[in-house]
Amino acid sequence: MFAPEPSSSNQSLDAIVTFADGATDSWRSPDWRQVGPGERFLRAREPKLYENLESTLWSPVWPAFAKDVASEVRQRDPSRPPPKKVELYLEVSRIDPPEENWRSWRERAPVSERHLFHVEEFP
Amino acid sequence: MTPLPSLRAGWRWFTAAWAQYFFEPVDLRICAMIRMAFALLMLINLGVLGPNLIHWFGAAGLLRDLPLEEYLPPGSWSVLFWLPKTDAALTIAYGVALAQAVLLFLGLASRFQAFGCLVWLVSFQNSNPLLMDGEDAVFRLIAALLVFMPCGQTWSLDAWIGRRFLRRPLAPIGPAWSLKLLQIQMAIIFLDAFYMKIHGLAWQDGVALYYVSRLEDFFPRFPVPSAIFDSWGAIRAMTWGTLLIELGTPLFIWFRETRRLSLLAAVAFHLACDYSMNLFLFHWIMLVGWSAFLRPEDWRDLQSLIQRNQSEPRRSEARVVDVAPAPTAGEPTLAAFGKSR
Repeated sequence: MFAPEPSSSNQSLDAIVTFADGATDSWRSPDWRQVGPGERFLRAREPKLYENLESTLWSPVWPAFAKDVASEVRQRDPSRPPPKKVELYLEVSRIDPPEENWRSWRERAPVSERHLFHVEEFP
Repeated sequence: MTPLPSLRAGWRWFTAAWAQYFFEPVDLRICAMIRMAFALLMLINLGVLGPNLIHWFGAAGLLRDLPLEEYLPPGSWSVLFWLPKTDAALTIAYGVALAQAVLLFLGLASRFQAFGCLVWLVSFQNSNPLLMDGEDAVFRLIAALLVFMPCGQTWSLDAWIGRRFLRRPLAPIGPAWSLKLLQIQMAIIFLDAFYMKIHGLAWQDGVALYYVSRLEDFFPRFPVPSAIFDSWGAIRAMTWGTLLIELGTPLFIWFRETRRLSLLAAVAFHLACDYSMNLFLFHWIMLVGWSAFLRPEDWRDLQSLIQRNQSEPRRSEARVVDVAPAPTAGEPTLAAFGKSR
């Protein structure tokens, strides 16, 4: 675990869902520091799932994941028209080496990169 | 002088030591305790999968478009691959897995239930590898060793039925080579972790825990003192301390004088990590594995220590714990290790 090198970045997923009427809404993977320990324990499998989804190795799962995100976002307001497009983004916050830029563990590193890694369009 | 006699003597010593280590009678309550603790963790593990069962494992779930066979090592299998691709079949399989974990805890046909738990672990893990982590490998290993462990001889329905109805009481003491394999396995896991880490620059430089404590997925779990994780000295001490424990525990746990100290270090390490980091059941399943090194006299001494503390608090301060109990037959000591070198 954490070997041979621990990860030096925090990563999260987010999505922009575009509906048939042109309106958009967004989705984000959980901010685990804002999730209480009980709920975090019950959702223990999710961080690994999101971590794996970020990898191109699992790209065949992206279309299904995008559809699931679209339906989750649409459930917030079922009166919306059907979704037309989902864009999946990966956000990376780099943890600088401590000798270069020491940061308290409480302090959040700024987002250093944001990549669009998949677009799913619905007919 | 030819080397032949010493080779023969060496071989005789090796075979005797092998037989002594793997086949000496042990208190099978240790195996029963491992069985029950494993079954509890298995239930929690399965319980966490429950709310998302259909989404994560169902035919119309997240992996519906994934050709799984291309992502798994050749020969990988899952009972779920052979069942009808319906939510009902998946739910029944999940229910059977839960039932087998409950029966393993209760100790009814214990080894068969352990085999069932192993089959379900492999099945669910192979049916959605995106969810799986290092701890799942430890779950599988312990389940596989439980299949061969006399884990239902005591504290079990098996033992109760044998005593009550069959008039064939099960022996509470006997050989348990699988328990010894679990000991070796635990030592290998820690040595491997040490070997992997020692090649990392962050571990060598003493800054690995700086990065780990800034990973928001894992850290923190419960409130932690900022002073520790914001201090160079503490970060270095924790990083190198981790390496020390991962190297020292599997080396020193084998000797009478250092077994308890090594076990205490491993327990403290796992509990501290579990308190500060979200790693689900990893540290608990590791503690189940390390309990293979417990001996009955540990309970006895712990009980007498607690009783002493309750009845004579002043006297107990003078002699806190008997760290090195009297050796049992064949148990290696550091002195013997020194002589053999």
